[in-house]
Amino acid sequence: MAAAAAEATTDGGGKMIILISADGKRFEVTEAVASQSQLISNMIEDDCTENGVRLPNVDGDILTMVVDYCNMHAGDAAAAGDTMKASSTEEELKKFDAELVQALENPVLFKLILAANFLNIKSLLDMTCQRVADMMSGKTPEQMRETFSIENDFTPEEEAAIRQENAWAFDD
Amino acid sequence: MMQQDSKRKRSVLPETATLAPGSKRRRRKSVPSRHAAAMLPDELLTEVCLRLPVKSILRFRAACRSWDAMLSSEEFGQLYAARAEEMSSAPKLLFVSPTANFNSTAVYKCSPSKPTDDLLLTLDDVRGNYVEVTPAPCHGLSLLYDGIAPAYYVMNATTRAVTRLPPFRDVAFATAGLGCDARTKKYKMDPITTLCGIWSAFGGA
Repeated sequence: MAAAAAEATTDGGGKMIILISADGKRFEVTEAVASQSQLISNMIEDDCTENGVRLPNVDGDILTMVVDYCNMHAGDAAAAGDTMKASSTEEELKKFDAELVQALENPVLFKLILAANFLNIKSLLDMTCQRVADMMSGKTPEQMRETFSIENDFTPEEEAAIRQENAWAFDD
Repeated sequence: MMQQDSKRKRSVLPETATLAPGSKRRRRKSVPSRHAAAMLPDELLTEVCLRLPVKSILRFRAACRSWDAMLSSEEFGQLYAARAEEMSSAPKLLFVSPTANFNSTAVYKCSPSKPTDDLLLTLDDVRGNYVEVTPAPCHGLSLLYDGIAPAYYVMNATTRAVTRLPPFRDVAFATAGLGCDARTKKYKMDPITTLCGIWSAFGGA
């Protein structure tokens, strides 16, 4: 199957490659789609994707999201050279991106960040980190301790001093 | 074309970093808190925090010692400043204004992308119409000059911290600037003829 896939070509995206998740799920994508990952792009350059690319750090359900994202954004690179080729408008992409991360809870979002970092997909890393930051930004220190299972290791005096130092940041 | 599967077979994260459903409230007593928090590794937690507003960063310093250390580190500050530089929405202009009763001075920032002006801080007992600000900040620090006192202030517009510099002589006829010694990380406030003050990075702010 992998060999047949390696032979297969499409008119736009070139060769197909197979990505294999930690739990053995296989995803067939074009090189153009996969090479949004700098890691895979380097592997393609080094000609070592023939037998499929094993991604032992990435679960199937997370890789599903990553592949969806890359499929959706594959038009980006082409659009830079030829605007007629763009498969999605900027608004459609924004909407897709927002919907992709909106429903995710922190543990899944964190895994998506780890995957984007491992695969080195800068735009996905940027988007997922921004999403976590947006969810964090309005929280109090107490809520952050809760969310991140952090133990408060300040003495009451130290904590008061830090709060005093930038008192304006604690106004609501 | 692609095969999808919604069932997670196993976690990719190390055991300590896994958050099982319902385990959010669990406290880890003996593990250093920075690593207990490491559902994201430090480098990625930094990536997330770089995208926070300043107000949140200052607030989260109060979460625990390791967050305080990370968020107030020089490295983080430099990364944050570099990122702010990249983003076009970063505030570009600082200006001072007398307040209604003229006995204090308000410092505002304004940004081309935001129509609202943001009050940063007010200096009491300083007459606004006699205050000057250095035209460009030096590593985020601006020098304010109060012509009446006379006195100099160093202000960090990002953290809204302001410090009055120790007084010195002959200030009325001097022209001053603010510089940073990159090697020692000491800041110098230099009225043109004599070197009058050396101010360490955040020691006084």
